[in-house]
Amino acid sequence: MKCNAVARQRQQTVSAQAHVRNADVKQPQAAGRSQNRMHVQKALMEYLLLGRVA
Amino acid sequence: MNPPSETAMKHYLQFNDFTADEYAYLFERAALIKKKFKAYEKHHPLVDRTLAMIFEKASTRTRVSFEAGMYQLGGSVVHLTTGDSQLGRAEPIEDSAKVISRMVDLVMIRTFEQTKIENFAQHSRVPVINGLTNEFHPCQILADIFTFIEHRGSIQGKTVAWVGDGNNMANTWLQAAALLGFKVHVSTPRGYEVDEKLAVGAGGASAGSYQFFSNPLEACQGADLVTTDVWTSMGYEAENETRRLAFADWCVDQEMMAAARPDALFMHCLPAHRGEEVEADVIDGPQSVVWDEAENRMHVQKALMEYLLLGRVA
Repeated sequence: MKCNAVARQRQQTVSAQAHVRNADVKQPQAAGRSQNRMHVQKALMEYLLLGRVA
Repeated sequence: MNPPSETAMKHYLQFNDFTADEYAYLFERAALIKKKFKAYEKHHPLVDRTLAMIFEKASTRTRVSFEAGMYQLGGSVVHLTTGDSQLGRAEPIEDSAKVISRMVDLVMIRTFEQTKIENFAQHSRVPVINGLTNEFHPCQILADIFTFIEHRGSIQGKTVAWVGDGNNMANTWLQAAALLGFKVHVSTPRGYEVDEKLAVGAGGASAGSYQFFSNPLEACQGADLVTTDVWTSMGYEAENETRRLAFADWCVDQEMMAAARPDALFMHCLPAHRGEEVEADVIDGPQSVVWDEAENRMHVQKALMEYLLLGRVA
């Protein structure tokens, strides 16, 4: 019961915050490109350490 | 259900940014979070969240309390100093805010002018916390009031004596008094007074919540808490010698503590200069709670970060 409540809370939180991380559409191009540095570097680090993952 | 005003993204740039009701929640939450910390009980509500800390001024307590606090909440931290990022110099603050806030979930800034952090927040897509500016230090007052509550119960109706510089701490105490219903006795040397307009605004909403005294001993009369800060705050080092002369009588000593209530507490946000703004037998004496106060920075900031990212949790 307690675990369910925690999971529910976590799910609500993730949903509530999703709009923050997914609000890219209205952002200027420059900031979008800068943000993508992080995403491609995350993919690069994962690939260098783990190779191709499913 | 949370009131609509609490569902929108919030920043914490000055004490006035939250309501008394939100503070009541935060103090309760901080107590719970502290209890879990003491019991080595995991509390990881911020897994996968990242806090960026931007420091344009030196820091010990703020860095350790935010960094350790964020890790304890399950999140991670990115630490930027002046060498890495000079707000408004290498690139416009607006651009820094847009970029940094796309990669992290929360930003804490310690900088000079309040306008800088406000400008950053205006262009940030994630909550921004004031880790100290020239004008305000809300996280420290949050910790101080939490510490008072721990030792003496509600601060409502009590009297806080501020002895020393009319600085960011004094400004923030004035805001807190108006909001939480206590009184501040302020005593500063001539020329170092609190900027009332800045501290509480032009509306006069806090009339009666503070009183000015030219004599620091009178300010301490009947106080439940006596508190002070260094004579020269960060950023004003060039005035050091002038301030030494001006502040000579604003040293919290046993005489001032004796003028306060018998059960009065002493607080100092640290670092302290014994023999300047406070005598050693006061800060190291039985009425001093400065070490609890320092530790509580972490607990209240954990509650604050949790609140800014998750809102009220059961």
